[in-house]
Order: sequence, then C-alpha cells, then structure tokens
Amino acid sequence: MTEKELNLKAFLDGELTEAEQREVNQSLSDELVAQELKDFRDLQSAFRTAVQPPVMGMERTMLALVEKKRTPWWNGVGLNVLKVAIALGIAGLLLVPNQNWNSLSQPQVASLAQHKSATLDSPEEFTKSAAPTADAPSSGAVSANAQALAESVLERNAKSGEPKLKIPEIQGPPVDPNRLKMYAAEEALARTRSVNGGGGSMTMPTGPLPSPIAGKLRPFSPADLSEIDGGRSLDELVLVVKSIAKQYRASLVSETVGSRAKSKFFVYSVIGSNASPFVRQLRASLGQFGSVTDSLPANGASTSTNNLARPTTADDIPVDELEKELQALNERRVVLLTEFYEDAKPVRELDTEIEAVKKRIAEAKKPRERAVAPNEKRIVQVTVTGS
Amino acid sequence: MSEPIKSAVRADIESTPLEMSAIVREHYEVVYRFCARRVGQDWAADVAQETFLTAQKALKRFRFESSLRSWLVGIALNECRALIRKRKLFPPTIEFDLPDASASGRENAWIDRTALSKALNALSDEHRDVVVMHEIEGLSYDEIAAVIGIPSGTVKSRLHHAFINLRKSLRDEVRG
Repeated sequence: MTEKELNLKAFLDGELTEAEQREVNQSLSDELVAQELKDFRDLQSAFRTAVQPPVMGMERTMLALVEKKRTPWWNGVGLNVLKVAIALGIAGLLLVPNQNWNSLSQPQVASLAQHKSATLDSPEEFTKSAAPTADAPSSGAVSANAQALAESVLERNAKSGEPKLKIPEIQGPPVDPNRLKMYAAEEALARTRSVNGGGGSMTMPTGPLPSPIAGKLRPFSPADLSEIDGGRSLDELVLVVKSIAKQYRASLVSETVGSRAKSKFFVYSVIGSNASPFVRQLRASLGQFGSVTDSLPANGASTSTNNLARPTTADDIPVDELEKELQALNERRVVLLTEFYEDAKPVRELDTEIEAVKKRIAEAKKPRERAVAPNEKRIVQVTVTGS
Repeated sequence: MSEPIKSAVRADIESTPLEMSAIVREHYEVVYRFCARRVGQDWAADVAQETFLTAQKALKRFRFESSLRSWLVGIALNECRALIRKRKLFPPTIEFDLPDASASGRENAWIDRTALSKALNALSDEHRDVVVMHEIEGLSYDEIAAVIGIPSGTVKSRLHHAFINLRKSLRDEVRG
C-alpha cells in the first residue's frame, strides 16, 4: 500500500496539508483511484444513515450528580472530627479524678441534691445553677426542702463522711419453693392404703395428708440420682444396657472391659425396625455415662449406594443444580440493582425466589436417615463408664 | 490543543467554575450514544451515569490536553470496557436507515444496509472502533487519538484500512 493510497481517506476527511491535497488531486486522473475515492465517499454517506439510539436517563444522571454533591458536612471530614471529639470527651471523663467531696459544705450538698439533674461528677456546676432566682420561693423554704431532699437521696460514708447516693441493697431473684421441691424423694409422696370395716372399704392415706403440691411431684429418675451422688456404678450401667437390649431383642456380639475396669464396651446386633428406638432408649437412659454409636449394617458394608449418591432434594433435584440456579439468581439480582426502578419490586420478588432456593438447598443438605429395611441387621456399639 | 487556546480555556473555566450540570446537558447525548453502541441500550444509561460521576470526581485533574468531549468519551470507553469484561457483553449491531430518494441516497444505493452492518461487525475491534468514532460519532482524528491513546497517524492508517476492507466486503456482496 502506497502513501498516496493511505492519504485517500484522509483527503476525504480534510485531514491533509495543502501539499498532500495537491498530490492526491493529481493522482485522481487515474481511473482506479477516482473510483476508489467515489466508493469511499459513498461509504461515508451511507454511514450517515446510521440509526441514532434514543437518548435516555439524562435526568437520572443529573439527580445522581446532585445527590453526590449534597453529602452533608458531617459525612466527610466533619464526621471524623466529631468522632475524635467524642472519643476525647469519653477519655477525659474516665481519666479526670473525682472532685474532693469532703470539701463541700452541707448546704452545698443540699443544693446539689435540689438540682433535678445533679450528678456526682460535677457538683460545683450544679451548685452554681442551683442559685435561687427572683421568682423562686424564699431561700429559707428552699433550703429546708433541699435539706430534706438531700437526706433522702444522699448519705454520708460512716468513716470518711463522704457523701454518696443512696443505693438500695441488691437482692437476688425470688426463690420459687415449688421449684426446690421438684427433686423431693418419691417416698415423700402420699401413699394410700385400703381400710376395711363397717361392711365396706375405704382408701386412706398412709403418710401425711396430701399437700397442695401433691401430684405435681415426679419420682426420682436415674439422672436425678447421678446429680446427687455424682456418678453411677458400672454394674448398674451394665444392668441398664442389658435390660434395654433384652427389651429390644438386641443380640450381644461382643462385650469388652475397658481400662482400669471402669468402662465396658458392648456390640449389639439388632434388626432394623428396632435399631432406632433401641439407640434412643440407650441414649436417654445412660445420659452422660455412656456413648452409643449407631449403626453400620450388620453385613459389614460401611457404605451403600445411598451414602455415595450426591445429595438431592425430596423431588430428586441434585443440590449442585440448585446451587447453579442460586448463582444465576444472584447474578440477575446484581443486574436488577443497577437498573432504575420506581420501586424495588422486581428485586424483592427475586429475593423471595432466592430465599426459597436457599431453603431447598439447606433442606437437601441436611443429613437424612438412611431408610432401613425392617429385617436388615444393624450394629450398635455401646460404651459405658461408671464410678 | 495549542498552548494559547489551552490557557484561554483554563482561564475561562477558572473564572466561571465548571458546572457539572452544564457539562451533562452539553455532552450527555454524545456519551450516551457512544455507550449504547458499545454495550447496548440496556446498559447505556448506567454507563453514561457512571461516566459523569467519574468525571465529577476527576474534574480537577482534567489537564486541558484534549477537548472536554474526548476526555468524557475516553472515560466512557473505559467504563464500557470494564462492563464488557464483567458482563461478557458483545457490541450490538449498528443499524442503518434505507437509502432515501435524494441525490446522495441514489449515489450510495449500491451499498446494501444490512450488508454494511454485517461488514462493520466483521471488522477487527480496532478498525471498528475508529470507524464508529469517526464516521458515526463524528470525532476528529486528534480526538480519536486522545481517546484511544494512539498517534493520530495510526488513526489515519486504521481508518483507511477499515474502509478498504468494508469496500471489498460490500463489492463482493454486490457481485453475489
């Protein structure tokens, strides 16, 4: 491509010097160059027919600029100055030592007390402000009232004579007697006996007459015992485990004694339908004295296809699909936020949708109990630790 | 911009402080259309607004080395590029009116408007940018050079090559 050709477009645009223009003018005698120039000119005029997009949003831009300009003084440097001033004020209050209250005379203390907003930190200020005014009652009456008021709100330290505000003694919350009796022994409950005589029989209480709290008491549970004596014997715990196992027809696979003979480890095999209630009962009965591990299939397979599967919702939608949906919704939200709306209705609607998807994801991620076939054997491991 | 003009503009601006609202009134249309041709109508208002907000913040740093229009268009170009990257947008197709019955309309009747639109889209980004800026948005070579940050001679060269490519595409279209 020659320099002359390069100048052809610039020639059309009037961007050449006079010398360059003369040169191009001379070359126009060449038919090909002239044709090219004509095509360029046609192209230029065709570009002028480009559709102009309608202009929108000028008012909105103006408003945005005005809003930016209208930042209040305290929102800029002023805010920082204010923050520093507040911080210094607080520091000052903490660091400045208390006034010498002993130096105040009784009338001064009285006038302090008279002032409605008197504080212990600035007695002098309030002494000044408590000065009598023209339309105030006579100074004698004020003085007497103030004296009485001062005595009611201030007291003097017995040793130092320093005045201080009267503060009532702090008392604990009232104790509910019924709450204390919650743990009364079962023996304390009124028992009844049948008495025969006079051609009939009647029921009589054996102990004291029924009290108003009778019926509200509950008998001791093993947990209560443990609270009282601080532990349970290993033998007792073993008995509990064995009786529960018998109740749920769990068969003992192995029984091992732990270190120092204070703990025992049991492995039970139990049918699927009994497994969950068995485990629940063990946990409730042993409390802190045992641990129960549920429950591998008895055939030894520690995983199943269910365990390996990706988490899904109840209607089998994989969670990762939901997460993608959530991501797309969040992206749409950002787009919506950048648009101009009279109200934020579309964003609010989208937020509801986002919340719903989040809930579904959380639901699907919750560990779900694997469905167990009623006859499938499961292994339950129990460890008990006694005193 | 020559030094005397620059100082005259500076003096003028310093004596009458630049009112942003006046700047918006004068240049909004250019900036908006510039944005609309790069990011589409849906985003144009947002990008134009961002452009003026940026300009308001940076007005004190305007060095009078270019016209205010090209400075604003430069900011708009950056905003558009940022949004295109972020949203993975594609430039919208530029549409043309049908040729009219006037003399100039009859002259360029051989240029099919749909084909022209297609040919313009087929250009490289560099060529397309200079063609749109010069032919449609009416920026001078110097202004384009200031906006894109290239020498004026490069603008001239790019425009010329872009026109040759367009002409070839359209002639091929006419020949079928």
